[in-house]
Amino acid sequence: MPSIDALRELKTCSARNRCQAHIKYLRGLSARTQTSPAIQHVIKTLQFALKKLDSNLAALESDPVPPFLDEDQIEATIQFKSGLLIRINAIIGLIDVADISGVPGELVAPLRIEIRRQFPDGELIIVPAAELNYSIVEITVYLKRLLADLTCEIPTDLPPKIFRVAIPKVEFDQALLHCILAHEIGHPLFRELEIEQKVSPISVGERRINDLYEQLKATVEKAKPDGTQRELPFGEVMFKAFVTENVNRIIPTWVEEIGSDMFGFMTFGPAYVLAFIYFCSSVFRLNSASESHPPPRFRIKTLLDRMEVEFPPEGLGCKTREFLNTWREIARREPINLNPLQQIALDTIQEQGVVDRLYNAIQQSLPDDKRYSKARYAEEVGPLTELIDAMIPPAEILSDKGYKPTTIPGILNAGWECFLAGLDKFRECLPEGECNTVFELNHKFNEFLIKSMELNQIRRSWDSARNDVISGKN
Amino acid sequence: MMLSAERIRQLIHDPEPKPKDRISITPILDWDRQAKSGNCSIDVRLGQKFRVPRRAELEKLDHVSPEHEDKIGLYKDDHYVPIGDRFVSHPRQFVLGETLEWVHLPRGFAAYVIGRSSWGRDGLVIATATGVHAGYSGILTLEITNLGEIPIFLWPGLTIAQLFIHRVEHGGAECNFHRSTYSGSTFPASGSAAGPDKEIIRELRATLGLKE
Repeated sequence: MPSIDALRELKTCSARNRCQAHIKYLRGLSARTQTSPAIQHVIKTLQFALKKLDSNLAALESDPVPPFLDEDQIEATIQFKSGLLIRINAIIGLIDVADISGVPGELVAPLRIEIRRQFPDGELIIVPAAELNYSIVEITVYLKRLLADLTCEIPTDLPPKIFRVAIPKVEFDQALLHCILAHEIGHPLFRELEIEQKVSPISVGERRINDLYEQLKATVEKAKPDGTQRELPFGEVMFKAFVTENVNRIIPTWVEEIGSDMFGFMTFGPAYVLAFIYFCSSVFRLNSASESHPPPRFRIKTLLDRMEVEFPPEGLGCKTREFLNTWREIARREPINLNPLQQIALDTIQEQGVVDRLYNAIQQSLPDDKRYSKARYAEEVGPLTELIDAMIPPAEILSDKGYKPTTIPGILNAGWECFLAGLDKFRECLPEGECNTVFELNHKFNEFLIKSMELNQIRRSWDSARNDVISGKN
Repeated sequence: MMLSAERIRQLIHDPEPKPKDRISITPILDWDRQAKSGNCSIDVRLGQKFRVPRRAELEKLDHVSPEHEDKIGLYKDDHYVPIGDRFVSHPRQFVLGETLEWVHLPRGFAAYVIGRSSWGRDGLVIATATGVHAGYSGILTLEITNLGEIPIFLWPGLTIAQLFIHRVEHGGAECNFHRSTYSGSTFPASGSAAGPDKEIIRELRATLGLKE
């Protein structure tokens, strides 16, 4: 038994050392000024998990080895616990750079309010992304799995949903692009509201698969110049099963992407469509699809079709209309150069009216107060653009009952209107000699929009806290 | 003529003029407290951003130096303190802060920012460059120094200064309207105090044979 004992001691001892290193690191992380209260919740949960893990390892180190276990089984028992360190480390990596030195706090607070509009108990952590893409992960799921593997109870104060959103680091100040977040919030909504089930079934068109098989067969048969017959190296049934399986893998992910676009559109209105077009057209090819994402050209088309119905052109500014008309022309063309599997997936989605089914399912599932309506757009965007033109943050709007706070989608929709109109009036309000280039002007404008979002958030948070004080809550 | 708090309130709520021609102070979180009846000012609150000189790296402030404008931004640390948290102002420490409110003054109005006396009695000097010109639109930068003996917690969201607004009279014909240097500021701004005069001073130094 000495080799077993030695292995056990070495393995638990090194794991406990690394456990302590993580505890120490988290202590330092906890001392940083964080941008969101959710980060402290994650840190506290991880500290709790690490203490439990350390005591589990201490027990494994000191408890007698059951005589019926061999060396491999002993190692596997310890590994089941020590391996959790890898997962803890990965979770730390998710929140490591979310403090005030890495993320502008004035951006987090307003976006947190937007998350809570859709998920009232939800929390938001924003981190800088090195890549030029937005993404969302729900951290609570990982924490709960970790605690389950440690047989720990979930802390009662842990928020039920903590979303970690990565925003391209170099574009933190690009307020207009942040409408893309509406799509990211759409992903968890898509799952929570079970939209996939509501649009099922989507069956892969058999005719398309038959056509593909016949096409392939004909190509192979023609391939031999001496006229002798050549056969496909697989049978018809096997081929069709392969295609069906792969297309069935593509369709749900594409449907979720299109569904999340619909959520983005319904929660942010035209601002989402405009941001998506801007975001996609600069760095993605319009015809380029992947297993997880349908071609941007098709996504833009579906959004523009929906825009035409929900936000008719006559309600939009002249320049916005021009911009959308140009894109309508571009998006009208069918995507090309898709691989056969992607083409079948796209044809299936189009032929079976999946987009309309998605839209109807989301419309029925998303309550009115969580949507950005045509009426709201018509009511607020005009007055808000007037404020922007005078370089007054559109954080509040004057009504018969005094100044009332606007919303983040309202600010961004008005922002897009002014941006597409060229920002001439905004520029006139700036000191002479400032913002001499288009880029400087755009930067200044986005900075101004972030300030507007900050002021709007302060107004709403203050009102809410004052109401809590008056009602004696908390 | 100085405007009373009631008059300021009326003008801000007047729906008639276009936003550009209306006084705007946004957001006012508590009208009754910030624009007290009988006062001739409106209280403004402390904002969330602070700018602190990096003393360990900044060797001097020389507004005439050619590198001043390029370098000054590098030698200041920006702090964001959300409402609910606080910034500690130590004795003799100088920081730039901001008003929480965005102030927009149309052509016919100008203003002065003055620290609230209750802070002054604790030794806190809040604003020294206090004039706000007609046509200004932006947050107001506050020059905050703790002249007292004891550190003071600065809580964003607390009322910290008061804004006295008055009408601007033009002499005869409408005067030329200059857009204020710091108009459009979204955070505490610092800049060049010398302006074009620095070129002249440098030239004079060369004439006098003084070294750079």
